[in-house]
Amino acid sequence: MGPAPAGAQDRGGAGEPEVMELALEGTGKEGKKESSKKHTLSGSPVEGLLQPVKLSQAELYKEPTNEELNRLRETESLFHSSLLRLQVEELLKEVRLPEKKKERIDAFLREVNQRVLRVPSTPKRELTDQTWLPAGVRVPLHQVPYTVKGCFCFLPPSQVTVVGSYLLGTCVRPDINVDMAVTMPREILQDKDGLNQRYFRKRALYLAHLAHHLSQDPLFGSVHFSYTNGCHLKPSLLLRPRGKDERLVTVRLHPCPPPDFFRPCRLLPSKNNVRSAWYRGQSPPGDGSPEPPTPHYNTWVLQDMTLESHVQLLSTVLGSAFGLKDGVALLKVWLRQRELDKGLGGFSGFLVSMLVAFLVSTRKIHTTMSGYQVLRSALQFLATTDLTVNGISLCLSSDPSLPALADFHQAFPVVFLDSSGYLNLCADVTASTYHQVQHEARLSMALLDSRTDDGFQLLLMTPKPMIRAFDHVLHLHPLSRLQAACHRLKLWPELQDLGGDYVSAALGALTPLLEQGLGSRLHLLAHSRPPVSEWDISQDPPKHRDSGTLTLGLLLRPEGLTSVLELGPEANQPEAADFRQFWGSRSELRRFQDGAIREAVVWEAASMAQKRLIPHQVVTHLLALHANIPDTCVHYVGGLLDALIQSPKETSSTGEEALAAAVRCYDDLSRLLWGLEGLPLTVSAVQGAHPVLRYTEVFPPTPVRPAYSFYEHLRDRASLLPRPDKPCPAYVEPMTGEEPLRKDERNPSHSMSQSRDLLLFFLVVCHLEGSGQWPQDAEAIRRVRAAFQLRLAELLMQQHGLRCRATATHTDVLKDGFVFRIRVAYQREPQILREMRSPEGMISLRDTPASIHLERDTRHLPLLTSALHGLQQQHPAFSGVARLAKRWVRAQLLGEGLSDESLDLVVAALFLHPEPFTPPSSPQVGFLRFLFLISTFDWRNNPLIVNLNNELTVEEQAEIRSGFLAARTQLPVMVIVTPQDRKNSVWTQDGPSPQILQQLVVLAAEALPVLEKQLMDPQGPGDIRTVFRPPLDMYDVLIRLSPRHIPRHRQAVDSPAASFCRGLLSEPGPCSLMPVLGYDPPQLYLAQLREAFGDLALFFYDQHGGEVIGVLWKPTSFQPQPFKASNTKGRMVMSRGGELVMVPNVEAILEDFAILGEGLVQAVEARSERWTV
Amino acid sequence: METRARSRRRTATPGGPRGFRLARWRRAGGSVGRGTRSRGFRAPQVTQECLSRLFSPCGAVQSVELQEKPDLGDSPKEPKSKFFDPTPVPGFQVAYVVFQKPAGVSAAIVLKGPLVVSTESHPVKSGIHKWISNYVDSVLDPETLRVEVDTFMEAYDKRIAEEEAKAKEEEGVPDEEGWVKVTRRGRRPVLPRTEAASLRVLEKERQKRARKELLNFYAWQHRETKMERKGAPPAPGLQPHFPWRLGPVHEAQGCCCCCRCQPQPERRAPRGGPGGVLGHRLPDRLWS
Repeated sequence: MGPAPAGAQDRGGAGEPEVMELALEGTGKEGKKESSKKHTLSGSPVEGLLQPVKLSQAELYKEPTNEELNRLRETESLFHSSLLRLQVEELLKEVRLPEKKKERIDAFLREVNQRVLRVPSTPKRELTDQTWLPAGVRVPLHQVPYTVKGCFCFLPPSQVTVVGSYLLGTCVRPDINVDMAVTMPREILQDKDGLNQRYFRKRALYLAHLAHHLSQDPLFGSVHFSYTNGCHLKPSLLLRPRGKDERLVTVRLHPCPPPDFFRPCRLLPSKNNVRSAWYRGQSPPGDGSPEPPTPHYNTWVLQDMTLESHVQLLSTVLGSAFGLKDGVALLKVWLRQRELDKGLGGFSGFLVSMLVAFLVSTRKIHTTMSGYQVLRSALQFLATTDLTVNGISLCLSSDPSLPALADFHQAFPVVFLDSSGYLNLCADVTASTYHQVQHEARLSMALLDSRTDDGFQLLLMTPKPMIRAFDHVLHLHPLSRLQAACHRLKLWPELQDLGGDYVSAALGALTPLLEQGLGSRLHLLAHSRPPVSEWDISQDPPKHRDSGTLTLGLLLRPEGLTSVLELGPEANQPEAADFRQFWGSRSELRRFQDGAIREAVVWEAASMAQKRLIPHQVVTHLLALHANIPDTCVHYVGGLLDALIQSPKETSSTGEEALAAAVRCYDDLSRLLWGLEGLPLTVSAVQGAHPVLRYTEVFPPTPVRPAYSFYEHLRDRASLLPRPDKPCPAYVEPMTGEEPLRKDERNPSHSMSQSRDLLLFFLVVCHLEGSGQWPQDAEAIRRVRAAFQLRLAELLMQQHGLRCRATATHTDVLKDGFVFRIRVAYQREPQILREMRSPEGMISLRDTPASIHLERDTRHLPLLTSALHGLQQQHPAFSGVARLAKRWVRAQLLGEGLSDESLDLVVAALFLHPEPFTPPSSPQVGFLRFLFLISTFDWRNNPLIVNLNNELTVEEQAEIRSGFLAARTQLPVMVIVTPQDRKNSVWTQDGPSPQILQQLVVLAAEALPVLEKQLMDPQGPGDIRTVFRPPLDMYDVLIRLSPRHIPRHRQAVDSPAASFCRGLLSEPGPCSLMPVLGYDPPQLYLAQLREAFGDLALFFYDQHGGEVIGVLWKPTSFQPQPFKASNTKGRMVMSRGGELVMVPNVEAILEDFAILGEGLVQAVEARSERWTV
Repeated sequence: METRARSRRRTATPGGPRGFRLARWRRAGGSVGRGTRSRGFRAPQVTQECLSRLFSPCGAVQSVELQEKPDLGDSPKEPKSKFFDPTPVPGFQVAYVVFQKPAGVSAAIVLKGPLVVSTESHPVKSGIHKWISNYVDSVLDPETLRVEVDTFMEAYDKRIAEEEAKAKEEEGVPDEEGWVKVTRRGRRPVLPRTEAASLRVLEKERQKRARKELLNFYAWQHRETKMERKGAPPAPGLQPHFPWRLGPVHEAQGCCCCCRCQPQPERRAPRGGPGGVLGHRLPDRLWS
């Protein structure tokens, strides 16, 4: 391998996964940059910006060595790309155990081995007589029922061997575990020990005695019990070295029976080894019904017997094939990022190793393959096969005495037999877990095939915790409730099989129940696996109810969510009874339009928000009906954040309906505009530009019905005016629509009858179209547009009776209580504004601020609005996510720095590029991913590409990236690229500044863990608004405002209990006067403050009912400046060292704050002394 | 030289409206420009009337101008339309107070003490009251707007018509030096004078010239190009010393041994005599 970039090597050594992530990102980006093009960035290198490595001419053109050529050839044949190879190698270097540590671990293992073999033996006792155990140790097993036949004595193990991934070299950091099998001597065991948990009791006692002796030893820092893979019949002993190596390694001791002690035919899945008579303390019903089979119990015994044979198998397969080992390590990382490998029934690293062995045996994987190819093949296999229907087996012999796969399918949901043909490796894996693995594998395969994204980063470096991966999450708490559920569901055989683990028993029954009930609403149901607990040897093992909570994750199907009806079979069909039985009292007979009479369930949900929460109703209903779990035990986390985007008075809806009503009204208006008669030019397009029209306005507008007594009247202009003696009236924001004019398509017959002014501007527009001389006059165009606005208002008034108010730049139209602001646009106007005439008379095109602004408003904004409107039709959750995101940013007082459009685009990216997730279907999960994206995206070195309508091809995206890198220093800090705007990132040109973006990133990184913890807390989330409250301690000055003059006071995060009347009627009534538009005193005040003191301080405010303006002094402005006439704003003269300098006059400025906002400002608090100069 | 006297805020009579600060500028030389202007520095809420009231004790005030930036000359401003030039958000501004007599300026320079901007008899609106009155002002009469647009467009039309008539009159008529102005409107329209058009022309010209230049005409030229290429880097496929260039070997891009595989510029025998506009550029040796 050639010399890696210096930076990457320096960073590569750190052991923490987080650090690793950064380092890898670094290498990745550098590589990409270099492969794109060799170029030098102009200007001084900005810190943190990745620069190509400078190499001398000689280095650059050195002949490649043989080794390098070999690697090139290898990369070509074994990897997707050379970048991927680098990334994979870097990752493996991170997760591999270094040789140095291996030596230390080996030494420790030898010590353990000696000490275990030296543990003294004890005399023989009855199993039930446990008085011989010393006081400091408890049996790590729930002995229910206690009485059991048999004797026990401790004898030193006959053999101690290392098994598992450590031996194979496939263990991954962090949490290095070494599994040791401790073979119990044959003398301890008796015949029929396989029956009635006798073997497990002996195993537990064996461990207890071992634990007692080892805990005396100073070699060990800690001696704990734990469960092997979470199976609570099989404790294991955890040993950690003392001293600085404490976190180096955990040695797990697993006692196991001598080889061939149990006969495998007694442990077939159809056999019973736990007698009902013993377990339930009663004889089975006398009618001779057979004992229920105990497949899981049998498997656990079998697992202990095959520890060594498995490790032998794996070592022969993986043996010297480094690619396979790499592949297994990658698969383990993949599973760990998805939290699939932990707990009882997890898809553990051992399982994937066996899967790789299986794929080798079926020749799907070859030993010469690279790690990446192994990962790919394994994922491909997982994605395309269904082990719940067609199990697989490592067993090659065709012995007729072996059990058939079908027998296993009857007993277990997922079947993967080992080489002996008796043991199902996937016995504990539930169908849901397996489906989740399949789902992830499918997503990953799609990602690997897509080529567009940085697949490695998304596949192996992005964690997918449950709360961020699933749309809705529900916690069952307390778990003891599940015991009753087991009784209700009649799960005694399962309990007998699982040794009383009612959580697993109930889980097996509840997931199919919920899956059936949620039906078409559900895409995937996943459950958390009980975590593997550790406890001190002097304590009793944790009870089942203490194993945390059971969390279910629902991945919803957005198209199924909208239906409120669960259609059942026709009433006279035999299936109707089943349907009634399943839904209980919720099932009712209904007659449908086609005459059919059917069973059906109807859920109450009027608004979109309620429909999204129908799964909540379904789950609580089914759990109460079938499992006797009351709704107080079901903590459903799905709509907790909805409260933040509900309008103050409407609590049943999150505003999608109100937005749709506004959009409908807009559609009506645009139809009116299209059909307007008497305009000298025809309308070529009516386009919306306001956030409402793309469903992303945080609080949707409501139709206004002003109470006239509340206002002054301006009779001759039919307008209402605010009154100083009343509280500030409700805020009405006009929605902007654009209406570009089209070329002359008039009807010539009626144009002649127009009045003079219409004829005039008709003429002028024609001139503009036809002549090369006139369009240079922007002033004339403005006049023409003004005349058009007037005419438009007149016509709308005449023909449709709409109240209008025309100004030079826009026309406000009042329709059905909504106010629209129509701006007439002329498509060549930006072009004309751009024209510059040089002194020689040469005309050149240069972007001017006015032309950029106009183009943004009349071209980009309508395009964006229609694209996002389309996105909302595809993904109904888009609106909710975008509004929550905006709400959060504004609540953190950063709304001014980030434009609405840029936030909308970031949210759109969550839907268009959801990898490695699926597009969010609920606002909650979308918001969490928004926070994650904001806090982790590398804005400095990457553009955020939002591929609206999938218009950008892979090549174009690569081109955009290289263009971005070349022009990085000229671009804004946050670059968002869309198909319409590939270079300039128009929506982030004016902000945020680097400081604001940094603050946003920090806040998001803080908020995400807090919110996730709250949502994952089964006791209830506590105060969900915590992350929406801004930290105020960072501001130098706080300006407190009087709620009386804050028109949107009720929208505040902590909604006030009482606020002021805002002059609106509650009942509908005719409204003929133009309401007060866009009058928001805090915003007017802020505009004044920013204009007057913008170069001295930054002002922060939450436009949704904030009562505080935060002021932050700019440190640079407090430098004394030379005395200059143009430099005197808010400063005073001071003599310093005989020279006159200007410094800010802070006292006077604070006074000005109060004077400027007279009536609005309650108090001005100076909080820090930082401003003293 | 400029000096500055800062006045401190003074509260007016108890119970009355608070006095506003007024930072005041004065110029040592006394008068600026016309000799009757005095410059004051304005806090955001001060109005023209207020300033003329404050300075009236120094002498009769002729006018007060508010500007965003200090401006030395007297630049006559075009009257602004209240419809088309939106009033900017008030910030700090500079005021020029023009006195009727120069004595006013000298009196203003020695004016002492803080000046109270807002008094009971002459309150200056700020805060809520100001915003409400601004809102009221922003509701304009559409009829006035219509009249303004009409007058503007009439004048504009007239001007355009005049210019057009004049252009038509002058068309084809040589001026005193004998030049004829050619416009697009003439019988033989010319190219528009835009940057894009001129760039296009230049590019075309460049291509034409490049085509005519002979590169490998003589043996020595040929040899030189060969020599140059020898020192040049090898084909890009063979320089993978970057770790990120480990990818598939680039397509072989020709060899580096000779120039035969390189695309050759079209060879053309030089035509005799000056060809085209600029002729062929030939090495001198041809003639020696």
